[in-house]
This record gives sequence, structure tokens and C-alpha cells, in this order.
Amino acid sequence: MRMDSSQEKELLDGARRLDSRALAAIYDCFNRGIYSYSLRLLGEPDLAEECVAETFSRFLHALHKGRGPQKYLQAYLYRIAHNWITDSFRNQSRLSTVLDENLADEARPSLPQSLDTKLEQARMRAALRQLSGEQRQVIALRFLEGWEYEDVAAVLNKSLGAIRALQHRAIANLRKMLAEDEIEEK
Amino acid sequence: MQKRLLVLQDVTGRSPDAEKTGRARFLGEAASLPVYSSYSQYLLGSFKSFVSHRPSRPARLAFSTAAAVCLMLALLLVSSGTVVYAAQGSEPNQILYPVKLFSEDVRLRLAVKPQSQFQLNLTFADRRLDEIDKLAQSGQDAGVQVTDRLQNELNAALDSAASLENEGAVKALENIQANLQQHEDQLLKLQSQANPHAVANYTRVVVMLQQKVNLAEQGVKDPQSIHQLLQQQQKQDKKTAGATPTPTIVVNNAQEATSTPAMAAATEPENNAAQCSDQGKGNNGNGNGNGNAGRCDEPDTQLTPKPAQPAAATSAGKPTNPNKPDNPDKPTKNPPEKGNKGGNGHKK
Repeated sequence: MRMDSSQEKELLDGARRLDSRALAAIYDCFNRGIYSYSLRLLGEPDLAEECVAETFSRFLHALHKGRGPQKYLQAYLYRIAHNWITDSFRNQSRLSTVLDENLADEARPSLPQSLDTKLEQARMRAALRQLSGEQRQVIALRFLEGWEYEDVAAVLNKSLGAIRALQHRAIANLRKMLAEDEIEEK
Repeated sequence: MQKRLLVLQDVTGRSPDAEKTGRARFLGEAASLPVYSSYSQYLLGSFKSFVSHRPSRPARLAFSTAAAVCLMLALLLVSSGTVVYAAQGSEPNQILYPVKLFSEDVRLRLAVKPQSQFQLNLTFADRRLDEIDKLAQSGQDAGVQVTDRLQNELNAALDSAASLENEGAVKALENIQANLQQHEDQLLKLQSQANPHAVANYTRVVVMLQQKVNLAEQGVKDPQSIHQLLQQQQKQDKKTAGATPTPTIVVNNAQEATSTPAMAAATEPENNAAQCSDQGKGNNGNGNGNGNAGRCDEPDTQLTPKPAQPAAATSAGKPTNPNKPDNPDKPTKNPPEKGNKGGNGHKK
């Protein structure tokens, strides 16, 4: 969800004063998008809920300390969410991934359609997890959230060229990883 | 690839209940925070809340224990630092003098570079000589402990000076030479004011200084020779310590001993031989029964190996003391046995 710059500035000014109306408007505007973004990458609704709560809490404490964004509010919130997701990937044990893979092998003979989709989702998430943080962020924002290059560049504080290069490398890496997985399965 | 990624796009939206709960929690958290207009105000507010916050009993106990330990450590550091600082001006007969020596030992142990070791050795030797000068001025005995330490410090200074690079070694040895000659001259002047009981000890110091000056002179020509000479001295120290009792200088008459000829006599080989005797003989068996006795520095007297070199140094135009014997090396040629054999009450 996009908002124009004057509206964003007005909301940020109110948020710095910890005005409840401005904060409520910001929450209403962005909470669903951040939830979907985190759920796509994490795959678990509980973790996505936790990510949303932590993102807005960190945003609030940054405002309270007199920091926080001067502009690009959306980019700022997605950056917090992405950092939280990256930390979550680091903290999660490798056991869950191994269990998922074993489950996939055992369930393969007679797959209903929905389970097949879930397996494909798990495979894509596992591949995304192996990308670097910036590459994963570019792929998620560009292809899962449908953002433009300019918006992604604002989140990562990089030039458009750098974002294109990151995207190119990320897709190449994903292809390579998925191809290797398919060879192993065969 | 983009098509494959689209499989992740299809996710269920956030439930309204969860959204409502999350929103209420977010706004409640915002309402609980005090409002600050700037970061500095936030820091001030955080400090105030920290101060006003009353921690739990175990936390208070842990905090007070830690604070007490820190306070005690700080007091210990400050008080020990003050004592060490105050001890730097103490004299050998004062209570803080051992602290001064200890602090010097610590500083020497911490010095790693040869240059800093040399500087420290020279500084500390200079301190000992100043102490001896002051005690001589007040007519007090410096004591064997101080002179022994002086000897060790001078040996160490010579050793570390010779360990420096070639030009540095020569400069350092010239520095030692000039410094010691100055102190020697001063001690000779003060000799007349010294306590009769302390004369022998001052005589020993003067002889020691002369020998070190000669050694430094020799080192200026060949810095590496000092290591060998010092090694020889240490060996002889061990031999002498193991084989013979501590020798003493017998000073028959305080007036004679403090006069300039007596000082020269202390450096003459035959007189040294005459005056150095076994402790028992020196104290009890000398001719006129004068019991003034001090230690004879026999190890040092055997130190300088070549009698010709000091003469060469003298002829090279170096400053000479009129009271100083022509050949200060002469006592070094005198073996301790000779002194032990010859000497009951031999008088110049």
C-alpha cells in the first residue's frame, strides 16, 4: 500500500509525538502487508504475527528515542521486518529443514494437489533462505510483493543498478540451487 | 523462475482478530511511553527513570556488594599509589625506603628495551649516589645495603649501556663516566664531614666509582669488553663469597682516613692490601687498636684487567681529579689473598 509524501510526512510528524491517531493510521496502513511479506518468507502464521508485533514495537521505540525515519516510512518498516526475518532464520535450528525434506521424500508417491503446492512452497522458501540477506530481500520485494525497483532501492539504500545486479545474481543462484535439488531428487 | 516464485504469493491474509489484538497492543505500548522531543531529552528521561527505579532486594544486594568491592579496590589503588609516590623522596634510614626500592625493581622489570633499561639503571644509581651524598653531608653512614645496591645498579647500567647499538653504547658509557666522576668528586669533598664510623663505607664507594669510571673508559674504546669484564667479576664474586670471609677496610684513624692521601691510599695496591684483612683480624688485631672497619670491596678490586688502559685514558685528556690516584686500576691488581695475608694494622 502506497501513500503520498505529504500524507507520509504528516503521519510521521504525528508518530514522533506518539500521537495515537497517527500511530493507528500507520498500523492500519502497513500491518497486513508486513504480515503477508513475513508469512511468505517464514511460512508460519505464528512467526509472521511475531514479526509484525516486533516490527511495530521497534518502530515505536525508535520514535521514542527521537530517531526513526525522516521519509520512506514503508521502506523503513519493511527493513525492520526483513532484519527480524533474517535473525529468525539464523536462530532457527537446522532440524526443521531436515524434517521437512524427509517428509517430502516419504510423501512423494501419492501427492494430492494441495500438498504438492506446499512442498513447492517449502522448496522455494528453503532456496530463498540460502540466498544472502540482500538478495532475498530484493527477490521478495520485487516478485512476491510486486514493488518497483525505486521502492526496493529505498529499502536497501542502494542505486537502481545495484538492485538490478542483486536481482540478477539472486535469480541465477536460485536457478542453480533448484536445479541441484531436482538432480538429487532424481 | 518468477512463475515458480509465484507459488509463495498465495498466502492467507491476517485474521481480523489478530489484527485487532496487535493494534491494541501497539497503541497501548505507545500510550505507556513518555513523550520526548529529542534524543537528549530521551537520555535524560532514561537516566531519571533508572535512578528512580527501585530494584529488587537481591539486585540491590548485588549492586551494593559490587559497589563496595569497586570502592575498596579504588581506595587500595589510590592509597598504594600515594604511598609509592611519597616513598620516592625517602632516604635509606626512613621507613618508606623499602617501598622506593621495590617500586624501582618493578619499573626495571617492566622495562623491555635496552635503552630504557639503561636509563633506569643509571637513574637509580644516580639516586643511590645522591642518597649517599646527602647522608655524607649530614655525617651519617650510608650502610652496606645501599652501597651493595649501588654496585649492582652500576654493573647493570654498564651492562645495559654496552648492549646498546655502537654509537649509543659509547654515548651511554661516556654519560656514565661523566656522571660517576661528578659524584666521586663530590664524595671526596664530603669525606671530611663523614662520621668516623662511616668513612670506610664511603671509601668503598669512592673506590667503586673509580673502578666503574675506568670500566666505562675502557668500554668507550671497546663496548663489548664490558660484558666479559662483568662476567669475570661475577665469577670472582662467587669465588670470593665461597672461599673467604667478608673482608673489611681497616681505617686506623678517622682523620687520616678522611684526608685526601688516605683516599689515595685506599686505591693503592699495597695500601689496599694492607688495609684489607679478614674481618676478625681487621677489627681485633690491628696495630693501634682502632676498630673502625668497613667492608673491602674485593670483587670490584679484581675487576679491571689491564692497567695500561686507564693511563691511556688519562693521557687522552680526560678530566682528572687531583685527589684521584694516578692509576685507579691499581687496587684491582691486588688479589684478595694478598690483602688477607698482609694486613694487620698496616698504616700509610
